[in-house]
Amino acid sequence: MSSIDNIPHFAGAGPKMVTELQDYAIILLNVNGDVINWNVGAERIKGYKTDEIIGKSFRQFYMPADQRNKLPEKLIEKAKQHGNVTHEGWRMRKDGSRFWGSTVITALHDSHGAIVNFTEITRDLTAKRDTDYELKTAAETLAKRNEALRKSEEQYHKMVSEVRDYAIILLSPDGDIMSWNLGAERIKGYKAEEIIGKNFRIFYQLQDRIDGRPDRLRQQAIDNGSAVDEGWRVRKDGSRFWGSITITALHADDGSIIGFSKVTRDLTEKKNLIDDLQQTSSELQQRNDELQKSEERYHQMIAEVQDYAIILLDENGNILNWNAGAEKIKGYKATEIIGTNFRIFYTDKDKAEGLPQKLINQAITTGKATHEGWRVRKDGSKFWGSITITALHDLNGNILGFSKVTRDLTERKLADDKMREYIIMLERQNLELEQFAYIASHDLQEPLRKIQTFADIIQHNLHDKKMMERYFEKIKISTARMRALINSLLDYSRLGKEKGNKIYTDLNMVLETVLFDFELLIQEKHATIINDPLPSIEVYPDQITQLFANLIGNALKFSDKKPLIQIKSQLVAKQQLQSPPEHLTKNEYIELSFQDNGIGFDSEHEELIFSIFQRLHGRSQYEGTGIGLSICRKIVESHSGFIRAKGTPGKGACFYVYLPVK
Amino acid sequence: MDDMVRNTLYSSQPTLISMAKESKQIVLMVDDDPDDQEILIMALKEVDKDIVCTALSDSLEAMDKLKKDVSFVPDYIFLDLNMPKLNGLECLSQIKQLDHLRKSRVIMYSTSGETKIIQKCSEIGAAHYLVKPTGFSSLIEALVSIFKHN
Repeated sequence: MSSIDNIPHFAGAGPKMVTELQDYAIILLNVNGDVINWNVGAERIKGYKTDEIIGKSFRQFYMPADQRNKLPEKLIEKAKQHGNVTHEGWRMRKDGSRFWGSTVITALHDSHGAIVNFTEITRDLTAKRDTDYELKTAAETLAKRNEALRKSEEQYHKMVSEVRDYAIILLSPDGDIMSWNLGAERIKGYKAEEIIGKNFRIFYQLQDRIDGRPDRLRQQAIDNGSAVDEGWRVRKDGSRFWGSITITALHADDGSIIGFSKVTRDLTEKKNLIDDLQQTSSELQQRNDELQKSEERYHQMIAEVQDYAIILLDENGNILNWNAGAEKIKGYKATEIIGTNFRIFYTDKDKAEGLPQKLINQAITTGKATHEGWRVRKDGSKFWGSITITALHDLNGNILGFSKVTRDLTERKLADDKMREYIIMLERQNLELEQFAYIASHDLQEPLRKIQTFADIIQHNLHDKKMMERYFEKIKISTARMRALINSLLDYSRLGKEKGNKIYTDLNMVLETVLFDFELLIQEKHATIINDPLPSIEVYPDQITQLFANLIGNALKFSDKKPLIQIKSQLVAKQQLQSPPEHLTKNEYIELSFQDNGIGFDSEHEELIFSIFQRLHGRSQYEGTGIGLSICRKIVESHSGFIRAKGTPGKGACFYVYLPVK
Repeated sequence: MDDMVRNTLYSSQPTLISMAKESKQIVLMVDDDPDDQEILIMALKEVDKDIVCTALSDSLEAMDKLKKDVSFVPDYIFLDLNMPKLNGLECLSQIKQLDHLRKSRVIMYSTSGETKIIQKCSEIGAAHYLVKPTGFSSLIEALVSIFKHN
């Protein structure tokens, strides 16, 4: 129990103290709680001016919720009962804002002990409360954080310690090893107890240590926060591994270095792999370069080769590429031909017979197909090609396509053909010569033999004049025959040499000449000769004259009645000829026919009569050396023509001479 | 011509062959060369003056005659190899098929002396092969030896 008056003070201090105290609201309330007294502090703390609040209830200092809960009344009641009451809580100011007040309400009694008034002393503890609150919160937060950290640290520790693939260790600021994990043990080989306390330099190769690498990295971590490195490190057993490391500087709040974390990964395998890869890669690159160069060289070589067509075909024979030689030989430009099938180079006949496909098949089965034959150029002209088709395979043995190399051997072929023709001609001539020599000697021997025999007979009949005369005559006849034979032979052999040049000749003139030569014989035999007008053609004039002479002479000689000779001519095309001889080169021929009414011959002997010395009749019957018709044939053949004969025994014969027209 | 031949005396002659004969020797000669005919017949006469010679130029004709006239059986038949129409070889084959001529001796008469041909003639059945000699005396000698053979 106290009263203001009882508060020790100096005179007048009490009220002064109260009224002027700014930090405390000291107010006097009546028994109902209405405000009797006010002070500066109250004004200051609660916001009301004195005249505003005197007589008002102290309830309005309390928060509305407290008022509803009748807190003011409760406090008064408590003060009544206990003499005073202390309470801290939110109070409300005049402006509605709140402050944290610490309130003491004291009951004042009179001398009889009856409550007269209450004092209410309130202190504004808002600021303090905030700080307290802050502190508390901070403390709480810190505690929480601490807990979290601890948990985290625990977790991390677990994590770190148990990670096997990474060495995760802690270093002191100097680089001494403070912690170790399973990964570090695994990677570097040391157990924790062996290594903790040692400096991390130990992991570096001697040369690196000499170079100061560990410290450089440490410094780098300090400067930049972290340092990353890859390089060889050394294990406990001295072996080395390729490590990828990160050193991270750890800082205290003030920024000072408290140490480093060092995470190391063993990348030896990877490094080896990468090294191998790089090695392989560089080897491959080199190979690639070489291949490219080689390919360029080959390409150049093939592209520019002019004498060989070297082309690539796909598996179906379509052309994939072209070279200079192909263009030169076959006539197509690359742009025109690529994509087309190679069949296009073959003649229609070859295509019809499936030759291209046959060659491809052969290349597929045996690897290679070679062929020589006529091929067709772009302009339709032909060339003689020697070709090789080679099948190209991939690693599995499947056909990728074909290479086709073609050489133009036309010149060589033509030369070969000419050579062959020439050889055939030579062989034929040789054969002729042999026959000729044989027959000549044989047939000449006959008159010779006779002469000898006749001479023999004469010698032994020297006294018999008649006999001698007879046989001398025979000798003369035989010698004449020999001469005739020899002349014919010479004529025959001369044919082909000294031909001179073909001259455009009027055959009518030729006929005239020959008839003139035979004038006597014609008269003797009372022969009649009828002829069509004959054409003019290019012939060897002497030869043609002889031809006419032989044929007409034969017609005159081989007759048993008055000879009637008919000479006609007509133009004949090659196609119209009946069974012409092979190898006819010209397309048009003049046909000269010499028809007689002589003794004719058996058609059986058609071919025979043209053979040298072949005679169909006995020597006594009809004159003739037997060479005449052979000479006719040779003459006609030298004009690239041919001769035929048809005969009917007893009726006559007809000789057909075919001479080519240019 | 036959008369002329018959009347010729060939002086310095080799030995005349005297043969015991029932009848005169008959010779047929087939050759298209008249000179050869004459020479052969002359030679034959020298060998045997009584010899009866027939010469034919056409081989077809000759064969015809031989086939048809079976009474005509020559002792010797001289065949020229090289004849038109039917050559000597063909005549030989045909003669060999004629029964009535089986006793006739066929002598091939030719300028050529090829071994093959001689062999062939022998195979077909020629009695002799006579190469036409150069010179009259050699011909007579050859004929003598042929006749002696028999």
